[in-house]
Amino acid sequence: MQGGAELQITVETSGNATILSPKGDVDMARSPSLRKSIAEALKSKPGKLLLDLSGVSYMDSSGLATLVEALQNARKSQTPLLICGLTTRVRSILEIARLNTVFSLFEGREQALAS
Amino acid sequence: MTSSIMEPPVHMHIQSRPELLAQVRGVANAMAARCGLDDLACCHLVLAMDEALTNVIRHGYEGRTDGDIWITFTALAEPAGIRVEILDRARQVDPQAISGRDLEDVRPGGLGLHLMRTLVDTFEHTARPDGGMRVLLEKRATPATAD
Repeated sequence: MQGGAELQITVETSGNATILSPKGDVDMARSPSLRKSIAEALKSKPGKLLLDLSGVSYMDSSGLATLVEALQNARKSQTPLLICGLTTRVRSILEIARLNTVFSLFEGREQALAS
Repeated sequence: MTSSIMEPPVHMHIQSRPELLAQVRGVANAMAARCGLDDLACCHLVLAMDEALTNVIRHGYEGRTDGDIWITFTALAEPAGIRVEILDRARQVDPQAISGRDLEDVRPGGLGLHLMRTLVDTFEHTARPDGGMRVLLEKRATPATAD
C-alpha cells in the first residue's frame, strides 16, 4: 500500500485514446483527484478513455464510486471507458462489489487499445 | 500468530482526518499479516476497517477533522486471526436504520456497508452507552490446505 499524500496521475495519449494511470492508494482522501482527472479527460472527448490501474494496489468504496461515476459520465458522452492492469487486490474488491461484470476489463494496455 | 506468544494489543488514537487513513491501513496490514492472514485476507480486513473509519469521518463527525477515533488491534488465537475495535465520540446513529444499496442497482456510493459485512467474519456496529459508536471487526486466518 502506498500512503503518499497525493495520488500521482499520468495522462498520455495513444492514437485517439486518452490513458490515465493513477499511482497510489485510491481512498477517501485521494479519489477526488482521480474523479477530477477523469472529468477533464472526458471533456476533451477522446475516442476511448483507458484507466491503467496497474499502479493502484488499494481502492476503497470511494474509489469504486469514482469508477462507477466515470462509467456513467463516459456513457453520457458516448466515450468507451476501458480499464486495464488490475492488481489482484483491486480485482478482488471489484468482484466483492460485483462490479467486475459492469466494466470493460483488460489485462494490459495493448489488449484494451486493440479492442 | 506466527509466534506461540500472544502479543499485546496495539492502540492508535487519531483525529478524523482522511489523510491519516493511509497510515492506519499500514499498521492494520502489518498486524493482520503478523496474525497469520494471507495477502488477500489482509487486504479485505484493511478495507473493512477503512470503510468503518470513512463512515466515522464522513457521517459520524460529518467531515469535521478534530474528532477523536481510537483503534485497537488485538491478535486472536485458536483459530488465529485479528480483531479491530474502533471507538469514537461522534453522532450516534441507529445501526438498524442503516442499509446499503442493492448491488444490482449500479450507481456511485452505498457500498461501504456491504463491504464491511462481506469482508470480515464478524461485524458489529453499536452505540456506546457513554456516547459515540463502536465498530468491531474480526477476521480469521484461513487454514492452509493439506496436500
